[in-house]
Amino acid sequence: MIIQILLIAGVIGVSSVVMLGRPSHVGRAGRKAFFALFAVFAVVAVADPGLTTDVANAVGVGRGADLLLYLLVIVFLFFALHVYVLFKKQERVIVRLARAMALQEASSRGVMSEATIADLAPSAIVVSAPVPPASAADGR
Amino acid sequence: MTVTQLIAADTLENIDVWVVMPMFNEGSVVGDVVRRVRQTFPHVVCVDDGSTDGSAAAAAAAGAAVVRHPINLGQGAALQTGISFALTDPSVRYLVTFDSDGQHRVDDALRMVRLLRDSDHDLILGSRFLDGAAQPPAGKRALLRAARAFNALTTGLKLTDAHNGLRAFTVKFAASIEITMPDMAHASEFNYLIKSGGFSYDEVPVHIDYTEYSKAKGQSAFNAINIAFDILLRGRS
Repeated sequence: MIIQILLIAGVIGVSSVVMLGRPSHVGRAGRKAFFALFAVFAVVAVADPGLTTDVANAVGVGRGADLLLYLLVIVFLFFALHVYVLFKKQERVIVRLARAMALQEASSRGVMSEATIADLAPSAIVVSAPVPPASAADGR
Repeated sequence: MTVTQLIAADTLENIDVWVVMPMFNEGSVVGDVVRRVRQTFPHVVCVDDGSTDGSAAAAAAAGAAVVRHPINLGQGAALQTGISFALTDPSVRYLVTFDSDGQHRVDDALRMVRLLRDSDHDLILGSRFLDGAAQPPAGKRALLRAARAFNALTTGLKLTDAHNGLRAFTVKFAASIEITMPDMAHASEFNYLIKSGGFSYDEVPVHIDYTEYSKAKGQSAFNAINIAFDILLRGRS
């Protein structure tokens, strides 16, 4: 059937993009293995649809297509959670970056030294310090 | 800012204290709050979390050190930025977190810092419910009770008021933590950090002034659900 040709081509296409990507460190090896298994399973399932129905019946599900749908729901939930965690990690990186920028910017304005200058010799400042006009102190 | 403000005699006692105030669009009140705090604590850092209403200028005019986030990151992130900034002062020994909307009282903060000085505790935490110090509105009270139960369950820290923004702590504690929950979930994370680091703490009753302003600014109760979700997923990220 035409649909079988289309599906098998799609599975092999997507899987090979993942598996034939740049050779890299161990972290990606697991992903490649997973996709290899997935591709084999998908091709077999498409070539012989009766097979998934046999598996479905064995676990108490009527049709192979239903079993696949249930599996898809679980995989999708897992995927959503995975993306959420990745997103949170990304957010943490952004926060750190923005914090570093904020502290650097404050340091370039001399905020800390301005705030603590009176700590060094308070009595000396009491005697001699003129009161700067508000506009000069805030002006930036 | 005038120099005479900086060295008012009764602030010398607290020259080793930094008050950290996260700030987001509090322009109408933050100036008064900073001035009030600085009568007791000369060192105030306001972390402007992307305000668009002139909060930064108001805080600076009142004599606060102002650190500005380039983008809005959330209150937890602002607290951590303020703590990081305060730690760059080599003579800092104590830190206080204080809300910029004016709901906390300076004399409570002063009492907490004095308690820190006179004890071996790493933290003194403010509580609205010890001694019935404050009477939050009924709806708020129920929500806070639920938050307290959730807090005990997830952080293992039994506090009478798990989400009070008024805290005083030592440099030792400040230097050992990093608040990573950028938003309101940071309050629970804070408690988790206390528990997991084995820090010693005590709670003291504090007053909260629920003004119309602070009630209007307060977070929606629905946000509690978001916070709970983030806390439960915390271990994964």
